[in-house]
Amino acid sequence: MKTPMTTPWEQRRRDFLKALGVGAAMIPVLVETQHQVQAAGPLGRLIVVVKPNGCRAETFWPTWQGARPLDGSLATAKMGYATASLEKHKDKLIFLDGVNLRNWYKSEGNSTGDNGDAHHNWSSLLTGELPSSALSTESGCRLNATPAGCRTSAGSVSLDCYVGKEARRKDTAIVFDSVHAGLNSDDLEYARRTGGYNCPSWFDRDKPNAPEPSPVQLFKKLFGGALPTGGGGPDPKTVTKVRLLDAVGKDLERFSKRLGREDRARVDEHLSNVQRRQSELNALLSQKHAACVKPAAPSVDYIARQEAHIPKQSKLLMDMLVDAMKCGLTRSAVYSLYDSNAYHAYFSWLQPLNSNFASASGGGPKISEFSDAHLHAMAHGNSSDPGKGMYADANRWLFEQYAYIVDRLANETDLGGTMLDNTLVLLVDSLSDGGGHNINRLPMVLSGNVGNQLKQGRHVQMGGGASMNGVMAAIAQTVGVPTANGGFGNTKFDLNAKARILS
Amino acid sequence: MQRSWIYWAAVMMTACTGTVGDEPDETTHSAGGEPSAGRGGTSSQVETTGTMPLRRLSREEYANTLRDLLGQAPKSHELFSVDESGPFGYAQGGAVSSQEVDRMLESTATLIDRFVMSQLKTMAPCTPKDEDDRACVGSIVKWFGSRAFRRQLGATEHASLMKSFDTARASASLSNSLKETLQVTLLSPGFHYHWERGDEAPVVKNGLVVLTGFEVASRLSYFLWQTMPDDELLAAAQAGQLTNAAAVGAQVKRMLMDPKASQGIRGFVTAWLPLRGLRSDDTSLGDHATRVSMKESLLKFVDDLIVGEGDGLFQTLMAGDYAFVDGEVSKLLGMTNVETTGTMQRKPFVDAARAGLFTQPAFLAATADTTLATIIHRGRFVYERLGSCAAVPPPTGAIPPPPPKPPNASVREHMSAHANEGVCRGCHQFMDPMGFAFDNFDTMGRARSTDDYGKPTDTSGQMPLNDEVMIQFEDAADLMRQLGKQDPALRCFARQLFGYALRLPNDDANERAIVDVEDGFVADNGNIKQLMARLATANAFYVRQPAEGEVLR
Repeated sequence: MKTPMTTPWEQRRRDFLKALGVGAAMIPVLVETQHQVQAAGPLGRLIVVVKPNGCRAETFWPTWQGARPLDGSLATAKMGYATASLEKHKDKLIFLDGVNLRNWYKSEGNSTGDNGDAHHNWSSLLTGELPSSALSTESGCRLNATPAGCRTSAGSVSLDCYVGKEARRKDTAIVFDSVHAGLNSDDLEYARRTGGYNCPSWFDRDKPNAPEPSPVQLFKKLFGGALPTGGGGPDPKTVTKVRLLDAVGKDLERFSKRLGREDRARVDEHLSNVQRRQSELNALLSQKHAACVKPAAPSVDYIARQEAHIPKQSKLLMDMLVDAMKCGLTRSAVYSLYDSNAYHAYFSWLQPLNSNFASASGGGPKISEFSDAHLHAMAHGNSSDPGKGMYADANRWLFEQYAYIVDRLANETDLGGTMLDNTLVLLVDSLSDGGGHNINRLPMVLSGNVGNQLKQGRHVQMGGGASMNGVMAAIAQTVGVPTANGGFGNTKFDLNAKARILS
Repeated sequence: MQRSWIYWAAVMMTACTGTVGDEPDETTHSAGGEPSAGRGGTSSQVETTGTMPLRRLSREEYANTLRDLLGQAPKSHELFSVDESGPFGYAQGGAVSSQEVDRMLESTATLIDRFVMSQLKTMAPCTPKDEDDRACVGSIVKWFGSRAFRRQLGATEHASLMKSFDTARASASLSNSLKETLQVTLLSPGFHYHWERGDEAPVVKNGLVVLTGFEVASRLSYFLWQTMPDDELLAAAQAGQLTNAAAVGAQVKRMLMDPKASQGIRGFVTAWLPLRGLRSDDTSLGDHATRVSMKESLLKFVDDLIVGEGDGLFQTLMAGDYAFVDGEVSKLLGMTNVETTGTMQRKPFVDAARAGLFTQPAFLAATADTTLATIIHRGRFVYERLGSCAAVPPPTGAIPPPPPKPPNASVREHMSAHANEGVCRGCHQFMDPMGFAFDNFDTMGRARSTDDYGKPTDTSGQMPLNDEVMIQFEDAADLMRQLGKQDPALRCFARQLFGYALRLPNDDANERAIVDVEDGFVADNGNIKQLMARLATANAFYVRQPAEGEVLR
């Protein structure tokens, strides 16, 4: 008898369950329990933490006393000054060294690419494609059409949305394609802007998944309204919202038809966001998450330019991302640490720690305390003290946020182990050297696993030509949603990255 | 709130007869045809004009419109739209993000709840007699929709809104169903976007789309008031009067005398200058009260000058020898014996280095940054807004770090080393001289005689305005006095106000119309109030190019 065809995802799922010692007869039962099983199944989860403005290499990458082991094992490695918080998880980490943002190269057709204008690269960082010039929300771009600084929209779907969308297609109980939280200390409006400076997450070409900086709003979006109802019928407020969105959607569709091409694109973006929210609310109304334990509502919210709140704000946002995954509301999330410029990333709550760096006074901008300097200024002043030391300390705090997510996942039980065993957590910086806007050898580390596919605790030298595209393709394959051609974004690049990561 | 019923009576009556909208009278209005006489003195023919990109209400417009529509001001957390900047001179609402959809659902529910509880009865054309009074609901929906959309509500739109009401009514009370229907109205594109023609097919004459009376009313209103048209203006649109030059002129005159004109001019100044940088939460710029006072001081100066008691002249804007101050600002300006009453009082400057709005603390603080960057920011803003009249392009590559400070150098000497480097020189040679003129003001706009390195300031310099005009100046006051009289600076200001008035890009398609307005401003010796009237009556104000792909039938 011919063996029925299975998709790679289904196959891996079965293999994984077998590896757990679950007999074939049990598989249908587990499938029947829907969400609970799927939340822990081999269809992996993904969290991407995006950080701006680079990091001095010696403070990021691990080092060894003596030569680096041939297999890159981290067992005897020392974490960098800025990545010290990852020490306790080093057996779960894979440092990916030598990855370049090749889809931002001028030679690949990005006229404003390479190091110039690299602060706009958040629109391309997770898409693997050239940016699009449409629907820019940056100053003057839409009407001025100046190429420099205007190619700030994404050319295609980003990795997180691709993974989340595919997962949602396979499991209709999932509510969100990708949840995007964004830490920001600037005014709330700026924080919600979407474009190359601010937004690495894109539902599709020119369709941003805007970052949410407010813990209270994120809580409402994820856990408010319909979830959970505590019994009874559907939440009436959510039902009303769905009805309102339905009426508005129809109105927008009618309105859009009269407009010119560019205007229509703008209204269509509005419409797609209305329809998306309608679909999310409908999924919440389906009651498939009624068993979800809602976390406590946040007691601290975003307060513009109150840097002292930032650590609490960050923790709340990260907790909610993990909680949303735990509840099965989403399989994919992005956490943006500020925006790609980080002009508003002040760290007033920090005290300089790095005595190696914080001594002499330089001839550049006056940077004497954390409250005086933003991350962008530190990055440009990182070749001399005191900017150098502050840069290291600020980065250290930013990497601690990534470590916190890894901690949370490692401490949440899940089928087959912990959530970290079923989740990939990628940290990527959009620049390597912030001062020079360098887009090669991006600071990057991957933690977690899915179905034990990855060999962790290693530093991997990716080799010449490695690209972000390759890493994303490898991640998509690992979490169980490979693309049709095995690549991601511009498929000219790096189709065998996973093999190199595994080797 | 006192409301005229003239317009609404007209809307109701017209709606019953099925008449839709009005059309401009081509005998009084030129759309690429013969010159129109009498439009504020503009006599040349507009052969072309740009498209009118669809604009969402800006954040300020959204706030003001909600206030005027609902009879009460929205709270700050109920405002969320993110503005984009136009080339410069105006802001426009950004695209609606996924987050905003959520917030709109929440905030419009609250806004409508408050409106229905406190205002609806006194404003609406009827009060439902009982739970079955669908006819009254229909009238309220028509009335509210026409105001929210700033035009007459089309039959399809009304039917669609009533369908929303009926759907809600199947499971809710009449009151809650009405609230839901009004909420749909506030969430609709008709409210959010400047498209005051609805489903009406455009009239195209000589290749240009002629704006409807309602579109003109909104253009006037958002230019001069930064909010929705009032009842009188809508009634004039409905009556077809906004195609008549005399009637438009009378409306402009009335509108400039209305207190809301202050709101309009403040809107322009806030977008024109980098006052967003003077955010009330920026602790590096003094305490909250000082920051609020600084901003109000500058806005009051412009507001009083143009639509208040002032002479309305560009020369005064640039080089007026006074400021409006309260206790906080007077300290920054070195004035003594100013009563700390909290109100702004007109006082002459006490130091000779100041003249006009660019030497006021709000501008100086808003452009302050680290030492070297302050010079660049200030110079760049003045250069862009009064010199080049175009945005200085951002560096195309990584910005080289500033060179090390030479021993015993002043800030100017240190800065000059940076500006003379190859890649930097292209722009800094033009921006920096104007920045140095302001170096005798610190980051809070206080006068000083030494720079951040403790060296004596040197504020003199020279600056080419164009190929023919070179300005030599001693300090900022001298620079501003000269700029106030310079033809290129006047033209640049008129060009930017054109962009704000029409919310149109400063591009080739509008060049002819812009030059007309510039000529008029120069001929009027820089009278800004006349410039505003001239803009509102320019032919380009009444027509636009069809957008690519737009349905024209």
